[in-house]
Amino acid sequence: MSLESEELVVYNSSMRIPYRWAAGLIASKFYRLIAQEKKIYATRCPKTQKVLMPPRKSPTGVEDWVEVGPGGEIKSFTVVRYPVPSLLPTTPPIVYALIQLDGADTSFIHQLGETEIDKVKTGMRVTAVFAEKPNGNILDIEYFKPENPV
Amino acid sequence: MGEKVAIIASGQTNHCSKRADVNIPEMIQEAVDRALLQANITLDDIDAIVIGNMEHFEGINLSDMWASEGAGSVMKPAMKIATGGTTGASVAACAYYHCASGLFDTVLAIGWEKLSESDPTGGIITAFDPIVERLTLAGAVGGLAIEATAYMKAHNVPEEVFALAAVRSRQNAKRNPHAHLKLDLTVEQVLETPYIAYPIHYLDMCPASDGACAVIMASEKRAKDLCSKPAWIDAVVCRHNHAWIGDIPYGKHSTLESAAVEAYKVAGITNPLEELDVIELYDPASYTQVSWLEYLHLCELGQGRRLVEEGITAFEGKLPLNPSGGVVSTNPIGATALIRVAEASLQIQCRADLRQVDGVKRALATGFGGSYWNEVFILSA
Repeated sequence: MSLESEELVVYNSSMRIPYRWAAGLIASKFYRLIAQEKKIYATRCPKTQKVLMPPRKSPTGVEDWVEVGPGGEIKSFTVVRYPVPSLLPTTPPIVYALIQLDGADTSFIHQLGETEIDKVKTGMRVTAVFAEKPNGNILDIEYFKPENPV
Repeated sequence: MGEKVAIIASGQTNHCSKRADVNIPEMIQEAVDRALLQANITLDDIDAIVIGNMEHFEGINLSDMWASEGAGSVMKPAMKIATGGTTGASVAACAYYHCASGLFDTVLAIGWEKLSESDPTGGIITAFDPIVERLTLAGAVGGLAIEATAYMKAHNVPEEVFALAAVRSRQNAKRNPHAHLKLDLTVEQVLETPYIAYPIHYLDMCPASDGACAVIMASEKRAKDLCSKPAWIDAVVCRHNHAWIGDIPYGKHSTLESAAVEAYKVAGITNPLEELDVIELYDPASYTQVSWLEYLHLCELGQGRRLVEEGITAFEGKLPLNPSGGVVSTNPIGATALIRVAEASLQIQCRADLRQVDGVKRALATGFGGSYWNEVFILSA
C-alpha cells in the first residue's frame, strides 16, 4: 500500500498546569515590606559587603536588610514589541530596563510606565510606582516612571 | 573500568510534604552546605557539579542555571541531568564518570525536587508520547499497579505481604531524621486505606516530597586525603528500555535484573544474599520490596514474600532493606535515587546514626524510573 496519498495527522493540544511556587522566607519578607511599607529592601552580602537586589538568603543565617530606592538609574534598556500572552502580563510595547536602585550594588530588570518611549535614555533617573493591590510578586512594584517628567 | 572513586560525604534536607520557608535554590543550598560540612571542605574544593531534577514538576526550565547560587555552581563546570525517577541515580553515575575518567578530583552531585509546587502525576504523564500513551496513561501509579497485579496473579501473593513491607518502611523512617513519613502502622491500617490503583492502597504508595540531597565524590587520592572512611564505588550499571509501556515485560523486570547481574560481576559478588550487608532499593510502592528483590537474585522468582515474611529484610534481619525508610517513606523525585546512594554510603561510613546497620561492608543501591529504567550501585568499605 502506498503512503503517498495518506493524510498526515496532527493532534492539537495544550497544557495547563497549575503551579504553587514557594517564595521562601527571604522573598516573603521582601514582598511584605513592599506591600505594607511601600519600601524596597535588599540584603548586604556578608562576604563581599555588596548590597544585592533582589535580596538573597545569607550563608550565615542572619540577613543584613538594607533599604534601597525607590529611586534609581537606568543602566540599559530595550523596547519589546512582541506579545507573549501565555506568560507575560504586560501588553507591548514594553520598555524593559536594567535599573540600579539607590543604595544597591546590583541592577535588576523591571518595566517602565508613564514614559515616552522615544525619550528613554541610559543614565535616566526613575522611581518605583507601587501596585495598589499587592499580589506577592515583582509586579507589586507595578513599574518605574521617570523621576522628572520627560 | 576507570579510576577508583569514593563517596566522602553527603547531606540531605529534612524532607517533608511542603517547604514553603525556602525557595528552590535555598532548599538546594541546605543539602549542599550539609554535605560540605560533613566533608569538612568548602565550595572552593569542588571541581565540578552535576545536578538533576524534572522540569515539569516545578515549571522551571533550565533549572541548573536558575539554581546555581544554591548549588554552588557559579563559575564552575556544571551539568544538568533529567531522567525521570532515575534522575538522582543518573546524577550519581555522571559524577562517578567525572571522577573515574580522571578529569576531575572532587565532584558534587545534587538531586532535588519540590513536588509541592505542582502536580507530580500530571508531570509524570507528560513524559509519555502525547498522541499514543498520554491520553490513557494514569501516571506512575497506574503502571506500577499493573505490574503488581501481574505479580500477585503469577505467584499467588496476597496484599497483606505488601502491607507488611509498607509498615516496616514507615517504622524504619522513624530512625531517620531526614525521612518524610514516620508512622506507626499496622498491616490492617494499610489495608483499610483506599486503593489509589488496585492493588496499591494509599499507604502502599510513596508520598510526594520536597527535598534535596547532595553527595561528594572524590578520586582515590583525594578521597584518602579528605576522608578516613570513604565509601568506595565498586560498580555503577545503568539499563534503559524502550518507551512503549505495553512492551515492558511485566513479570520479568529485565532492566533491574540485567543491571544487577552486571553489577555483581563487576564487584565480584556471586551470592548477593550472603555478600551484601544492606540494600537501599528504589521502592516506589510497597510490592516492589517483595517482587523486585527477586530480580536482584536474592531469592527465586515468586519467593520474595519469604524475605519479607521471615523478617530477612527487616531492620534486624539478615539483609536489611531500606533502613532509611526508603522511597515509600520519602520521595522528592529528582533527589530520591541519589538519596539511595547517599544512604548506602552512610551505612558504609558508619554515619547512619539510629538507622545504622551493624557491620556494613557492602551495600547495594538502586534507582528506578522512566520506562522501567534501572541503575544499580555497589559500594564497599
